[in-house]
Amino acid sequence: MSTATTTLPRARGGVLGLIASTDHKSVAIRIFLTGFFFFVAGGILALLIRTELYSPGQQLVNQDHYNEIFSMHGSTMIYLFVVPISLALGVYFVPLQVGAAEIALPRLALLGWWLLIGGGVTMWLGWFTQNGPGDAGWTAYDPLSDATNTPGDGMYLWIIGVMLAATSAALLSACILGTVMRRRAPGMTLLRMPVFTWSMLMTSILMIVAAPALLVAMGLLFWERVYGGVFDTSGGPIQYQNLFWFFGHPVVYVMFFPFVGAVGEVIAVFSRKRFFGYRAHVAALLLFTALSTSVWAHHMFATGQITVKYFSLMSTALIIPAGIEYLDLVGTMWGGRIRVGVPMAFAVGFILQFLIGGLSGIFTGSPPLDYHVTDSYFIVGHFHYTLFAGSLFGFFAAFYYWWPKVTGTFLRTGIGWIHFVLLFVGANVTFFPMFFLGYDGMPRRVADYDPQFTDLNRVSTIGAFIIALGILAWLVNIVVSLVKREPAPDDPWGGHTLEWATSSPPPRHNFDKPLPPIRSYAPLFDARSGQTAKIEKAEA
Amino acid sequence: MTPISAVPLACYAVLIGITSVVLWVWTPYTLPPALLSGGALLMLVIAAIVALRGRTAKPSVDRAVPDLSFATVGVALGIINILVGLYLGLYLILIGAGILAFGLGGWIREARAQRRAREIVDAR
Repeated sequence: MSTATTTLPRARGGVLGLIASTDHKSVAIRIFLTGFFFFVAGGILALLIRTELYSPGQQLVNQDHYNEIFSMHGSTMIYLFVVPISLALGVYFVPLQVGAAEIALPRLALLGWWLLIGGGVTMWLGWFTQNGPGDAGWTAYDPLSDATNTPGDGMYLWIIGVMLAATSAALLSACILGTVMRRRAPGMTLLRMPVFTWSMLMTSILMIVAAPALLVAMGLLFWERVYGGVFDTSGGPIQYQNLFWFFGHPVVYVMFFPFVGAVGEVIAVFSRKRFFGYRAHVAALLLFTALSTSVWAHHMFATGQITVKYFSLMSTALIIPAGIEYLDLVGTMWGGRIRVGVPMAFAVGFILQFLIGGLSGIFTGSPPLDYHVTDSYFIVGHFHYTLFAGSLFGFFAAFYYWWPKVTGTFLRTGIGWIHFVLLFVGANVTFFPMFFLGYDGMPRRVADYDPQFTDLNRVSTIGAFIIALGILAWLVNIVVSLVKREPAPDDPWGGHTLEWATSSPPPRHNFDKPLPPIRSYAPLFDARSGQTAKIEKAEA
Repeated sequence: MTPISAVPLACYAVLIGITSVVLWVWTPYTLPPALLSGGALLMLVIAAIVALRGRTAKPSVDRAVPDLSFATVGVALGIINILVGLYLGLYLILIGAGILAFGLGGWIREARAQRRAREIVDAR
């Protein structure tokens, strides 16, 4: 191993850097590229699903292959794309935002990336086995996923892949948590941390608490398939579901919080205002995190073997912190001198669409309504509004906002708008009809359906291809911007937080000049507006 | 050094501790409240560790940081081989264990090199 000090300004490149660099920025970019690869793979599966559902009957695939396709689509998108890129944002930007020269536990960050690759490759190797990959959904409920009902090697590889991906996520979270706890720059107190850093802290807490439950569930499922005797007792399948959803529900927030934080940063900067209601936002995040750990069994209302009133009450209580966060986001825009730009468009798109996801969540948190829509396309519409129409828009807001910092170049604004419009239209055309389909009784996870559902399914399929065009525009934007570079200054947006106080891209140890005084959660905004001097005078 | 950093972790632990108590009272089942209580306990332990260790006293730019870590690659490949070997056979577990041992040995070597480098930096 070679050891670098501050005299080494640049990260190691080349093949060696690619496989073994512990620079958090390099690790984060590699996690992103890995997640992006699986996003494309999972997206192709989504197009196959929607193409099959364009008409009733079975055109492309039979029911068995359809099971494999939707299982791998869900598993890939959640375990190998959204969770890793959520954490990749934190791995890259949390050390910068807290003024640290390096992430805590850099070797574990590198290990996390390698385990993610191992998990993804292992899971996808299932396609080359005799019975195909795991086809018991992304949840792999027992007994559906046991050796009798899902025979073959693919399911074993799926379990191992999930274990590796979950371990990866837990390790990356530990790195982020350690950075926030131990690597903050002098002056960066807890209540001076940017909202994105707070959201990543809460994300890390969730993942560290939830991941062990998934590892236990997967370990027991593996044992069950090999030896039996674990879940094949009375109530055994319910125990599996409890273990799975103790991870499965908090992970929804792992895929949400980072983007709320990123959107908060974008909105504050593009409204040219300090973030509104910072302390309330932090308190709401903390409450949100605790409640989101306590509501998992609302996914199991229909089993009749959980304490329905408790989980319904806790689920409904989520409205309180969610409302505060929305108030803060809108309040930040209120009265601001709003600058219209692609990051801001995606941020507003996130707010609007996640609202639909959240409001439909109130339906599913209410047992009488949930009994009606459970296992229907209503649920598919709900979670795609939260994860795709919500989180992915938050991701794109972050992507357009931080791209100049990571690459030192601008993305093309015109192509960015095309990307936004196509994605916004595509997402709503795809997912909104699903609410009607589900309410009217179309079950999820079927390759064939009653002809009465044909029209709405066709609309949904057309929407999916509009989304694909939007993603294509995004890729074109990336390629054009990397080939024909348009250099960006260090702080192109008038940022508020410390990552904008360093060069673009940042040097190996993040800051090559002294940090500005940190007197609030928006130190650069303070410096520009003269607030720093006022605060220091008041303190004196 | 201040234990204040542990406050959010402790708050979270207390909050889910409270919800777990409510669930213990409300539910006839054991696993759901046990999961919540376990989560609260885990976070309390982490909060205690953070409180005891505190924030790094010295500015972090003065710390020697590992730049390349091939040992970590070994640890990762070892873990992946062992897990896949659980299904594919003992031979792969043994290969994975060997790679893992090399990786862990490398980590120890790296940590010692890092400590020496830090001493050099501190001496400047």
